[in-house]
Amino acid sequence: MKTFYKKKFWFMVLPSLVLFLMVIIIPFMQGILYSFTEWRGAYFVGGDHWWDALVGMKNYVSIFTSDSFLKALGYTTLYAILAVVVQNVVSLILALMIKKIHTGKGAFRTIYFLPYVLGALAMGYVWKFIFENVFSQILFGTESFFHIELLNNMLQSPWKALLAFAIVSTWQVAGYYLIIYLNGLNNISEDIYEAARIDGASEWYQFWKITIPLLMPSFTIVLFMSLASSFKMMDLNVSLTEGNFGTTMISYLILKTVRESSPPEYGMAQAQAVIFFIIVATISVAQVLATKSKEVEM
Amino acid sequence: MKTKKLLSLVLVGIMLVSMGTMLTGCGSSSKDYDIYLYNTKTEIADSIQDLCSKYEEETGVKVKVYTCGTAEGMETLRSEMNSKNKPTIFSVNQSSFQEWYEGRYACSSDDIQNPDLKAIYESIPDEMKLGDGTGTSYGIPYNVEGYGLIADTRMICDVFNLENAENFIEDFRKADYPEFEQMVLALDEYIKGNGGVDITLNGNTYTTASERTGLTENLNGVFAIAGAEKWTYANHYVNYALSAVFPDYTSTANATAEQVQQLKTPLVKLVKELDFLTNYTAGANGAVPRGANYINSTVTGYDQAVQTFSEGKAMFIKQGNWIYQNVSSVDAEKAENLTMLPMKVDLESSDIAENGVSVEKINSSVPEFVSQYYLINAKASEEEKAAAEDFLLWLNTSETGTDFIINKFAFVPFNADSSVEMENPLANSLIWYMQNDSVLGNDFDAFPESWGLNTIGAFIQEKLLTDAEEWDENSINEGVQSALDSWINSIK
Repeated sequence: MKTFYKKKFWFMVLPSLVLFLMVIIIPFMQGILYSFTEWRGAYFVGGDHWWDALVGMKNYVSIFTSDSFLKALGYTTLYAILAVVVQNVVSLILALMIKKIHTGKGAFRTIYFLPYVLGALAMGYVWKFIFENVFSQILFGTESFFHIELLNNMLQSPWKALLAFAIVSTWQVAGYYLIIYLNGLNNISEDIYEAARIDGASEWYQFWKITIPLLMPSFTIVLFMSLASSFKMMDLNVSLTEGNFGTTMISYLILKTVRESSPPEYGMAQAQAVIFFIIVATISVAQVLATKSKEVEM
Repeated sequence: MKTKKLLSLVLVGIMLVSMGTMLTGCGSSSKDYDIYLYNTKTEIADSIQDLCSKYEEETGVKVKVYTCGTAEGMETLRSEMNSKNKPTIFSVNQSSFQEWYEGRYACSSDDIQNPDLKAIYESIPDEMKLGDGTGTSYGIPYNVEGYGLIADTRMICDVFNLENAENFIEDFRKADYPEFEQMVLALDEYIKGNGGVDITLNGNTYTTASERTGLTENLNGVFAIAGAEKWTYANHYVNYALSAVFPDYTSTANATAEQVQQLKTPLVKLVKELDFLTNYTAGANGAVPRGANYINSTVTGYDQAVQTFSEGKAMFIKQGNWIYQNVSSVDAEKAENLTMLPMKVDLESSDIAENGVSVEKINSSVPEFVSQYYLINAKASEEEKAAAEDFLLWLNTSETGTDFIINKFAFVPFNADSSVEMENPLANSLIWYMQNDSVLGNDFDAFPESWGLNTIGAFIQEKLLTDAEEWDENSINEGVQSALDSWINSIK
């Protein structure tokens, strides 16, 4: 079997390679080219080919001279920091809790995983209803018994909305990250904990000195996933606030660039996407390198 | 092991075959139509299909129709234009016309070979022409739409103890803003149970009834207002300020910084008027006060506002002829008795710019516009273009075609005369205003794309409608000025 795969390696890989090339790599390269042109989606301004519409760095310059992109970038970064922390802390705590219990492990795992399989956009609208009506009218509103201003009208202020985005996204992805953490926890041998206990290490000490270092491979993957997905988040941005109250994030801004310009500035949106890609790629790679270096082998 | 190996080979085979068909699918495509019509008005998706079947029966020419809503419709149209089988006729609205004009996709009236169709292109009144401002015409209007203050005539009769509403409607159309304001206050009193108040409209006295009737007992506010829908005020309401400054679409699109600055006084005054109007908002369960809930889409969304109005909880709704279907589905009898009245604005002659429209005209007219136009694709083959010309001529002149426009599409034709009688009474109102020279431009599409929604609309929604107190004069001035600045900055 091994020799079969070895011999037929390229043959087996070919379909995915061709697909990947066609739907990712080629459009990506094309996109970089188009970001230097005045592209309208259906045509190029001033000719039939992209080289007829070249405008040099114009699109990039206007991105950095407009407030909206920088503002959205700042807001997205804040969200990403908050979301990564909350998502990781919550999913790790849930994983540790499930690890400890003996009965109903599967049931809890399924329940926490469930939100992940539901459509993010649709659930965003459900949560919008919860924030606007259940939170603001029934539970935490000014006339409610538990008046908590932080949870009242969360979608009508950029700062409270940040928390609202984090709550919904955590609810959605925590179950998925939990599975990864749980798997990592199960891979840590009980022997090590036993040895530590014999040496008199406290639970807390064990967590910091054994669990965290040995869980590093899981951190690498979960941090990478949560960081990238938080930067790219759009569905909740659309469904919860529609970018109102200054809550527009980068992905939605790129979409709006096309929809809110006439004739549509696809070239500009493409340039925004390229910059966005560079930022997300740099941060993600730096994170992977940093956490990878902390991984230890037993 | 053997079966696994076999299975994997089969799977790879399937993948390769499907990829092969995908690749060839992009390249070769045989044409199975004579005209490809790309439609972006979803409400006529079915009837336009029937129309094309009728056309094929009559002439043997096959028309392929594809319908896709406006927002996604444009994105799909862009890719269709790059495919081998590009649309022969496509539909766009005024604001996206610039895109297809710049890309040289739009056939102008000068390119039209058929003299009869050319005459139709040229017969379109200037304010409805799709063009570059030079008088050349690029599209045939789908229909005419418009918006104003919509009311139920039976309810008017009940509130003011009238036999019929005709005199009231006539007087209301001529009434000025102070009379309107006093009427709103009297209606508010009536709703609170204090009838018997005298008001004057156009100098004639009307008295509110002392008793509520079956029709009016549900009233809990004067207006149904969709606070969650920015377009209702950012575009449709702000449009009255545009009328006070700009004579037409082209001059709005080419506004100078000074002209934009002239919008300040009318806009500030309109926002203050909104401060007054929004105190009398009806809701599903009683009046809706301004505040966080006022912009909650589950409370004051478009559907909710129309529903509130349809259930007789509000006296008026400032909306367009398109609400007829929704009202009809709630209360068919109410829908048959609707009428559209002009909105009143609190402006004085001194607020109007040199080129603007007079206050009397604004207060007695409704904004009307063409929602979509049929354009012939200049990049289609000559053969297809000729067929498209015949089709558009047939649609706009033949008995079958015009019958479809009026009765199946339920569209007000752009060239409607008083002989046209529609099922939708609001459409008949629109025709009345057209016939009586009481139409305002709907030029908000000419301001920078989404300017209304992102600046003045966001300001009204986020800062004002959430504020239950009387709005602060300074913050209104600042908000309006910052909106105008963003327009001025976008002038190249």
